[in-house]
Amino acid sequence: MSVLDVSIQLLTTPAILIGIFALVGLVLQKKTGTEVVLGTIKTILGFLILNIGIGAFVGPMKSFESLFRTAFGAEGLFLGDNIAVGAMMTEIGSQVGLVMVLGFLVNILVARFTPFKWIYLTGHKAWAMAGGIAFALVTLGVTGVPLVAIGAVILGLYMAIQPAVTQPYMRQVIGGDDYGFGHTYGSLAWLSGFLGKVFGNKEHNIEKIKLPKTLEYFRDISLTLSLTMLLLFIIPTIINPASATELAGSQNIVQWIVIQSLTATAGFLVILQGVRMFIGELIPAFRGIAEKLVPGAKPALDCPVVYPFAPTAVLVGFVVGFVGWLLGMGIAGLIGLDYIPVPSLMPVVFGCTTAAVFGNATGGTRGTIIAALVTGVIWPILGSLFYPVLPFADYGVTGTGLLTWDIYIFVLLIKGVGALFGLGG
Amino acid sequence: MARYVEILAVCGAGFGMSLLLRMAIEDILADEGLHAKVAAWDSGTAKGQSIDIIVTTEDLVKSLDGFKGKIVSVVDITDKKLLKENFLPVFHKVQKEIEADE
Repeated sequence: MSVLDVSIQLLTTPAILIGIFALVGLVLQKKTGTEVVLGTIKTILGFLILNIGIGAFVGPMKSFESLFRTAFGAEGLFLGDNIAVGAMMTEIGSQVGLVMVLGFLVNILVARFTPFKWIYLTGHKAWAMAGGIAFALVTLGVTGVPLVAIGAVILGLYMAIQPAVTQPYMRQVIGGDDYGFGHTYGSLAWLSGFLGKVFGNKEHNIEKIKLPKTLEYFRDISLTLSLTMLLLFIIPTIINPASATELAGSQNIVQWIVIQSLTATAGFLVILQGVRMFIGELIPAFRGIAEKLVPGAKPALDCPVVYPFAPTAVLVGFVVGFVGWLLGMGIAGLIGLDYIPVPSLMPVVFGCTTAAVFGNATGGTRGTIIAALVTGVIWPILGSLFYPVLPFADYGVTGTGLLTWDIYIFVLLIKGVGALFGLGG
Repeated sequence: MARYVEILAVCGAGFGMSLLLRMAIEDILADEGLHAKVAAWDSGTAKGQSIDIIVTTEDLVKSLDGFKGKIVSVVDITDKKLLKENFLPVFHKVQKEIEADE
């Protein structure tokens, strides 16, 4: 085997490719030898841990799909960017990794040479968007260098410009321009700010209302996820117990439900841990480089950055968003959609809460409720309509798909432009 | 030799915000020439860990009820000055307690 062969094999193993990026980033930050080795290993481990999580998650979710189908006659979807992109990494991991890292570079270039000074520090969403972009380009038959080049430019432009779109509302949330909003909930945040402005009353800030303390528990995602998973298994079982008994085989139903749902929870938490680890070394490197090269750079940050400004809105957003989602599922069922997204953790705990905070900033209590409700109701419908756009099933990935709207928008744009050029079936 | 102070940056899911908090704390420690172990986790996992100091956002403080160590909270994640003012005294106090124990 020649050196070239070995190099190519290494670079096309996503775990190792990302490890190399982390290594370069750490060296550029002038870290000590030990820190470079540790950081690189942690990044590669993060990837492998992500794979283990996906593996544990997939089994129970297949049982869930079966239960849902026999109880409701439609395909239940558990949407999540981390899961959907995570599951695709074995197929397109290298492309995604390259688009993401070169996307960071494009972000830096755009920030350096244009008035858009935003540096996008939400690593896991940069990764998710890179995944959506790469997958969309793959379906158009674009591969290799053109894929990475086009993908990186799109991603880099998105990273520098999305925070500018949300800033008019973001500055009302945080009371200034010190930092911006960097997340694929950008369109969701913008819509919420807009709805609040049009329908709400900014004077009646929701923070004046007191809520029961027990609601705070939902911030513990192990708890919220466990409860969600248990419900996702229990409800279809009540509707169609025969199906569950059959799937449970020799185990009794209660035992089966508990183990399946909590194994799915465990798998999900492991996925989060994996993402945490590999993003954990890349983002500090990115930030360090950006600070050196872009005078006047401003960070665009993850959605929880707004929560401290309106904690009551966060709680209301969770409850209202959850109810809204159930309504949306009902509507999807009534209009006969084939795919019904269930309330997976992320959209309700992070998306609807973000909608609530933006709605409150521009529209007070009324704005909060309208924003969270609209977001919760339309999300499963949007998710259902978007699901067939990318052929996850061709890659053996079923029961899950992309979640966040900004990725939907860009995938559709890419497929649309591709169709103009006669690409993609 | 006394063990390192163990610090945990905590946020909702354990990557976006807690990573930013972790970087902010590491910056502060580096500026002062101090060393400690800094990690990042979500709030649910945090409760099961044995750590000295948790750094988190203001809205998560209530959900960390029952944590035995010290909690330092922020509202504005980019206000490094305020974080430093709140964090360093707590850090030094914990470090003294560790050294006294050993």
